[in-house]
Amino acid sequence: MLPEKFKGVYKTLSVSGVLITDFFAVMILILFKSGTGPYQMFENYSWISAYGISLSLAIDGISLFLVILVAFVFSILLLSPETLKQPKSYAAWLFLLEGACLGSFLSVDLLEFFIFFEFTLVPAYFLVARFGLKDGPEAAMYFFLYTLLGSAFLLVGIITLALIHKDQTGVFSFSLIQLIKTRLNSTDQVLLLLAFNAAFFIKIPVFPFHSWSPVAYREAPVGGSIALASIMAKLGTYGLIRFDLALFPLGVKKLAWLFLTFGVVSILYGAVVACVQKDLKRLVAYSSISHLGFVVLGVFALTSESLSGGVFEMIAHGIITAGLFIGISQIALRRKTFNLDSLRGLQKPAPLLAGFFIVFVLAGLGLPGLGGFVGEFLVLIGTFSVHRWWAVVAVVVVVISATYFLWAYQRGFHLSPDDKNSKVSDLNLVERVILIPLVLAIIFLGIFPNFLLSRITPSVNLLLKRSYPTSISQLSLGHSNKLTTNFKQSNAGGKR
Amino acid sequence: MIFSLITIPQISYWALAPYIVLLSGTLVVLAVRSLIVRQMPEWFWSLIGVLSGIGLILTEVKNYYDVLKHGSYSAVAHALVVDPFECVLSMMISVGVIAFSLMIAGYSKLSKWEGPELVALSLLSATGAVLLVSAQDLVGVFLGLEIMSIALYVMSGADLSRLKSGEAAVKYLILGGVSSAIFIYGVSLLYGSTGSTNLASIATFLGGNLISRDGIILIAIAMILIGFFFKVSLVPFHVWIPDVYQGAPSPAVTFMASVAKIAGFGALIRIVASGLHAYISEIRPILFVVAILSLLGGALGGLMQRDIKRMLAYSAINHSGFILLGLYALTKSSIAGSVVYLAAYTLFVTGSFSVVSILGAGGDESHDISLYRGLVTKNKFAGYSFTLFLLAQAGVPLTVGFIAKLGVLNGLLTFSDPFKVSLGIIAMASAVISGFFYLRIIINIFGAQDIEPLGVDKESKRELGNVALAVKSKEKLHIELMARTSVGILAVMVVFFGIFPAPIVDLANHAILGF
Repeated sequence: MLPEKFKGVYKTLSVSGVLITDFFAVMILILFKSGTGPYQMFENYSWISAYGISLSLAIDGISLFLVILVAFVFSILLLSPETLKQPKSYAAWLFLLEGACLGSFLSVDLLEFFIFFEFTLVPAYFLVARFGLKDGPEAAMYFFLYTLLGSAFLLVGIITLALIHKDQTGVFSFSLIQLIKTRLNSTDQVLLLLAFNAAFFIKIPVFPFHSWSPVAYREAPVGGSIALASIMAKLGTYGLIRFDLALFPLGVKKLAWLFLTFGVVSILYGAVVACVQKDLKRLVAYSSISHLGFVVLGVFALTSESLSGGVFEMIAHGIITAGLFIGISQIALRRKTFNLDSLRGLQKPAPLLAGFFIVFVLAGLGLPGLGGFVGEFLVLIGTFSVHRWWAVVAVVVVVISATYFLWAYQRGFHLSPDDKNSKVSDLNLVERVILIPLVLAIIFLGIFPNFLLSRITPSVNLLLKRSYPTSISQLSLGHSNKLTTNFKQSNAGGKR
Repeated sequence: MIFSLITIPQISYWALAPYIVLLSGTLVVLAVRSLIVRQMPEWFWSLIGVLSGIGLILTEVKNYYDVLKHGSYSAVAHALVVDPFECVLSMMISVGVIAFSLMIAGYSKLSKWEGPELVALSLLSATGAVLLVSAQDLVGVFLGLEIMSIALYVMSGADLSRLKSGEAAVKYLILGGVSSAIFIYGVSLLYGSTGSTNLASIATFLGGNLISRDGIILIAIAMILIGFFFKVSLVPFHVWIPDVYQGAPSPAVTFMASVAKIAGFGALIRIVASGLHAYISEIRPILFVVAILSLLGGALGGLMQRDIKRMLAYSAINHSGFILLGLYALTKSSIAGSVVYLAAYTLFVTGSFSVVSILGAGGDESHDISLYRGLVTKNKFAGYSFTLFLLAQAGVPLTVGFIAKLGVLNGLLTFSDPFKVSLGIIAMASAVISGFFYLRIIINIFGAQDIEPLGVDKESKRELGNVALAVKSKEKLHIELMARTSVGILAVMVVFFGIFPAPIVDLANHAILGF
């Protein structure tokens, strides 16, 4: 899936690389049996047998759409004219990053996941440092080291867990399927959970660990920002679901209140800070923190709806953020600035750009009928049934997010344009072609969420049933189908 | 007839083969130099060095398979032991020898040096290093240590055109001499109290007797450890390292950083694991403190540097801390972890310093980080391979550096000790801190921006007067074929063993069979 070397004909190579990856992604989607929970398409090879590391790949409802998202977003990035204008190493790093992300989402082996998870830093670092804006190198270094620090805890945690498992069973393995059987007392679980979460929370990023993200998103080239925000942030949230929930049920139950609080604070903080941003890229960065806070909230509420909603939100956020960043880069291409103060009335000279942009903005603030709504809605419903007050606070933020998004749009696109802004040209054909699939995807997610949910929910339910048999989740299992039907109706209402 | 009168002792020539190979390499170099009047080309000396290195590998591989099949044996009145540990470490030493030999030709050509002294010295030093890792007798250890070190002192002072090189040699000589003296004093105390210099006998004595007043033994152990802490550059015995690395000619540093450290750690591990393990509970607190100090000291010290050779010196201190963690735990898997780390360390450190040597040829005075700016545009090969080695040092997955860190952590965490997890986290955090200056070098290599290193204000930027550093010139940089081969092979190995580490891990697991 991963052409690593580019010589003279690299454009053809990169296009064919994209097509091959997409072909596999579509094949996976077609071959995936919906309505079942466990892993499918299991592949297992021994890799580093001395350390019990295997190369095991598999997919289930939780990772399926993340894999599709990676393939989708990276195809758009790699085929976009801006990528083709860059030196060939830019595309090469993007391909490496895509490979590493796919590897992480498909891994069933903890250490294999870690290897890919950490390896994503290298291409991401070079994307930001070499192709970024003025302060790219410093931002990249900050981002690299901060994430590496989290990974240090994760690595120690993973090895400790595997060794505990070895003591109990005599088998030295990092396979998730094996490690789930490890019996841990609740203190160990709490400690390991904290070690794991250090890495995941930094990667997402969740509120107190977020300081790298606005800087890195700001200084990265458009491809780098999208890769960081749409894809790599999901590595963290994915890790929460796949590893934390499966491995440490006692620890999660004990600390759920804390992580829920982290989630809510992120939601609030991201939204409030986004309100005062003048820089468009930073605004999207903070709104990302806010949206990913919803995912964290959904994950640790531990109900079928909230968790499915969290997964759904990951996909939707990936696509919406990609759209926002591409839109911003097209503004920047024309006006050479990200600053809202110097933008004015772009709607008049560039109506198409404005049109596309408003779709992403509306999806971002969670308008029913578009992709952003479903995830947030499910998360809030799921959370409300078990942790009422956290959900109540989170709901307030929906209003704030409408404020900053619409305000930004208003400042940039409304009013009558001044001199500089009136000469802006509208989107050309290629730029339109690139944005159309994103818009279609957002509308598709909004109108047919069941296409995703029918594949996500069984895996989520299986996870909850296996690890949290006594918790509230069983109660909500029965409701799950009814809820989605309800939801479909309300959604249809929203469209009218 | 006459043979029946003289009893010829049983000599196991295979046990001595490594020394014979290296010494004959030295002698050939010296003989050719003194007997043939005509000036020989530089590549000729390198060729002899490389052939000796390959000879060393071959004999050690042969010995390795022998001892795996028939078991270890000792030779020369139990002074030497031929076991998998010695074989594996000697193979690593030969990597250092070969890389050095390939590097020195181009370096001495550009520096207008005549003569093969450095090749001869390096082979001599390697002889000492091999003796050091295979000696089972403390006297043998001392001999190996001195043979290795004295050659190294001369090598670090080899650049007569630079004052700093001489300064480095004197510093190294004095501190190295003091540390050797401390070591040999410890050995004599240990001999006085146990009645033997043989590690096996010492272990039997210490294990078999309950010693009520063991003050002298404790002092002896402390002195032996301190002697080695000097050699393998652990904090607080590290002060000489940055100065010597900065002053010595870069190829000599390549050799020093790899061979001397492998040999030093080899002997240290052997002494602690097979001689003094009865006293491990007394030794452990020392190792604990020294490991933490080295991990953090190496990482933090490197942050303050502008000179790349000094940065790499501090990073070597950090790596030493990692290797020491395996010795601290002293379980089978933890020592195997240390051996894996040593193997990986050999590859990426030899690689890093090889690139530095290429760039330093013809003017080694300064390796200021600003001189490396835009390296990749002047020579893609040097830029990318240096980046790769630095990433490996930072422990990025899919390079051998990650396997090394994994091996050590895995070994450390197997050990039942209340501090193990915190120690592991400190170690990984120190790797993150040192990642800071690796990234700083990488940023400069790719020439994106000029970023001032921490703690250095712009005014104090030294005048870079008579620097002939290859990077400084504007035109593209040409790299000798031999140097290119060496760096290329090392880079391939760093990636290959990062993805398929099984050979290294297997070697390490076999290496510890003797303990």
